[in-house]
Amino acid sequence: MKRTAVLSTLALLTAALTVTTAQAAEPQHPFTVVRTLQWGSFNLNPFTPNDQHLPPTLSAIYETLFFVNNLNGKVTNVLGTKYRWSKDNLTLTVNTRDGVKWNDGKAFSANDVEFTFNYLKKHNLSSIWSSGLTSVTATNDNTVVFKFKEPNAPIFPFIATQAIVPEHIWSKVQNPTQETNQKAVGTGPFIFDSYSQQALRVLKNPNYWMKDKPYIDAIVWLPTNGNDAALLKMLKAEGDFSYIGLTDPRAQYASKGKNNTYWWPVNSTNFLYFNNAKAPFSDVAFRRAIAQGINTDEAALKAYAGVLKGADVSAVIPAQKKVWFPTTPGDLDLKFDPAAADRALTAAGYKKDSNGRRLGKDGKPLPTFRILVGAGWTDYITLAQVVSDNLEVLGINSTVDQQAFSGYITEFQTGTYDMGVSWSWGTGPSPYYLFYQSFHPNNTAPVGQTSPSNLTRYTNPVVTKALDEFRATSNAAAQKKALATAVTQVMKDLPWLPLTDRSQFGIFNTTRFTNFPSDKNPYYDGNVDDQAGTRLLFLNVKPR
Amino acid sequence: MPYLLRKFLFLLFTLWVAVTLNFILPRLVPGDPIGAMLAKYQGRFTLDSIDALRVAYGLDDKSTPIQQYLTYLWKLLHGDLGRSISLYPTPVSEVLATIAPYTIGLVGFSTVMAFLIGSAMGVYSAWRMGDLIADNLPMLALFLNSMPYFWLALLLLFFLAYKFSFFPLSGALDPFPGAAFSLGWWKSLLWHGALPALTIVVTSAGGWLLTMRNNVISVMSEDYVAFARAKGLPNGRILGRYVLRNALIPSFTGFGMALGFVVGGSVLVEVVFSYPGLGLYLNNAVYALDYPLMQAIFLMIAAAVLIANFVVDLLYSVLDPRVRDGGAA
Repeated sequence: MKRTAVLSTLALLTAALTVTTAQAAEPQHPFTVVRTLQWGSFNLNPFTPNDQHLPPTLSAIYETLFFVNNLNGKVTNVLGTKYRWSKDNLTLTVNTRDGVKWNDGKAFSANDVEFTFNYLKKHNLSSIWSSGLTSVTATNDNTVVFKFKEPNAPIFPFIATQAIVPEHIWSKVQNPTQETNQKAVGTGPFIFDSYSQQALRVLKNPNYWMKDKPYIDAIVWLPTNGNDAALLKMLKAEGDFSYIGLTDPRAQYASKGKNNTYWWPVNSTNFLYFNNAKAPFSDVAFRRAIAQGINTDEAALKAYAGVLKGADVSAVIPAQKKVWFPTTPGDLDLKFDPAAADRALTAAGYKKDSNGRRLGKDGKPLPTFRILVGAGWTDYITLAQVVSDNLEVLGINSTVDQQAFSGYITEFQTGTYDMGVSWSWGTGPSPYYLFYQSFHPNNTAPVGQTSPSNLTRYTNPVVTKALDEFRATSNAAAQKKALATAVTQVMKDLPWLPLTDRSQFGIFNTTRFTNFPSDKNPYYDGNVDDQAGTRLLFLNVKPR
Repeated sequence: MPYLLRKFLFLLFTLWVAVTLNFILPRLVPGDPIGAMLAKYQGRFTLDSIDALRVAYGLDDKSTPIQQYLTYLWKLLHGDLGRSISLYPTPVSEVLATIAPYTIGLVGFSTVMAFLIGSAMGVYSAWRMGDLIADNLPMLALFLNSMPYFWLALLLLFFLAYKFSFFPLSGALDPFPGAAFSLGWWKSLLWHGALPALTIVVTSAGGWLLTMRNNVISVMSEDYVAFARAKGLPNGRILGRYVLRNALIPSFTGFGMALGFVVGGSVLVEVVFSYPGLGLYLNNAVYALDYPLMQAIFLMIAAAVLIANFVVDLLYSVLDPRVRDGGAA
């Protein structure tokens, strides 16, 4: 009797265990992302800042109206199927997709879009509304109309890539900055599955509106403690995708296995900024002359092992140059030529004394200039060192000035530096965003006050006018013309020197998956952070 | 009991000093956490958000340092450690609750193991002097003890985890180990803890071996041991009753200290193995200038060392009657 009881209990247990395992079937093709950081608390709120919500939030769960590729400006439809600007560029009409369901089964409609944008306004969650937007209205179930006070075509990417949330859930959330949204309801290709400090997992949304995609059934994120640990995992094929700023991806990763590849698309530029508010950097002739004496190719080779190249003088990244600015005015191209630089400096009134020291226009020797970089940033320190060595050939003394981040930023923004190495303070799907942030009077301030993004404090009415023309039209030809004017003027005045390309740091292990982005198929810009573009990676990768 | 009362008041006083230093030291570190965060992202972070972040992290505090100090003490007394900056908005107490068990488990277990194994070998090596193994043990102990433990950790990681894949590369658990405390979970935990534990045991057992060996040798030369031998007592009894009890006392002090340091973790071992314990998070918090997390971990380390010492003091009064009378205190 006792024996039978034990046996039947055992049988029951075995049955229970079998059922549990059957239900919790492991995904067959999980795609693994290796992170170089730990994550914080369980938060899937798309309205909180980027490092506060978990990585799947914007890349796998919520969707946007469109995706705008930052490399080439190409627009992909997502929840939006069509958009058009009115003739006066004051109204943007967006058609939304039919037949899309939120992952709780309710239908998505244009009302959710209207709700999302008005919710941003009500809780002051986005700067979209401070740029001249006056109303967002759903005119029927699949049309939304955005109205503007004055033309602002370049706002489109910001509207296009705003995560759309369901009205029936968020209308009940009174305090969106403190909501952790652990049962996230989105339209995206994946549904949140599990959270722990060891891993995050999302599973394929069975009712996703693209019938054939995604090809993978789950995504797993693994945290590590920094670059070295993440690299080891990738080398052992324990991850499929990671984002690691290696000094030499060819030697450290790609050469160590046939399935190891990397894609570092150029997405911005490292500049040598000149403080145009200070003599002698306020003198165009001086800036142009020393720019000619700086070997940007050597700088790129030493700082980035030749993986990244010297930058184009126009500061337009290669992918956008093809689209917006195919031919550089030839006479404005800078060729590295120390002898010509030396002659140009002398001609501009900066003579050399008998010791070979460069003199100012007043006949006194030039002071030792500081080249501002962040403390310990090896790539920037190397770049500054090359600049300093090149300047020495011209008889100009300089020192590399390493500062902690807050000092570095403050000197740039208040205009107390001489020269400094920094990134593009403004990027977007066309060069407009860089030039607007860098040179428009809206983004500058007098020396001593904080300038948001115009570090050189250079403005020029020609450039300003061209940028305003670009902003006021949605006509591609007119925009191209305006942009060419702005870029050409900046190339003439050279308020900065574009030093080297800057890129994303994606590395892949192709043992299990194919269809990663590449130069041939740059379907998104290669970022791994929680961004709308990363969704395209998750939709496109295919199990082998 | 004046001895215990004195010890207890001293504990309270040192705790207060630790808490105060803990408040002052992070504020002397140059730089600010927002700067550290932006530097980490090198421009992939919009600058408009700086002010918003400052407010969110409570770094816009305009009150005087004295006020801040009093608020800090008040919150501390109520168990409020603030919110972590690098893992915002997770409360620091939640971070500690998640990571402290790993360190206490791993380093605590390894420390006890190292103490037991090392001391046992120390006793053996002293008691069996003249024997080939016993005579060579101190040499081996010296070698292992002087080896930097992060170096051994790197070697183990490279060969056993990376080259030959016997052990996992990092972390404390598999990504999906199954339900907590299930069989698979325990297996995964032990598997991940094996290399870090091995590192700590191998490099610290040598120290205990040497200490114990010296203690035993010096006790063995005491008159009462010679007397016990002369009386013809069996060896086992001499070792247990006369030698060990007296030889253990000095080792015990060291053991108490070592237990106190468990909370701090072996920072480098945790960093090398990406083992998510207090040491790794302390390291990360320092890089991110995450003051609240840093303060909380320092506080735990200080409190653990002080309390462990207090407990050792208490046990001393049991082990060694002279202490209670104040003679050798």
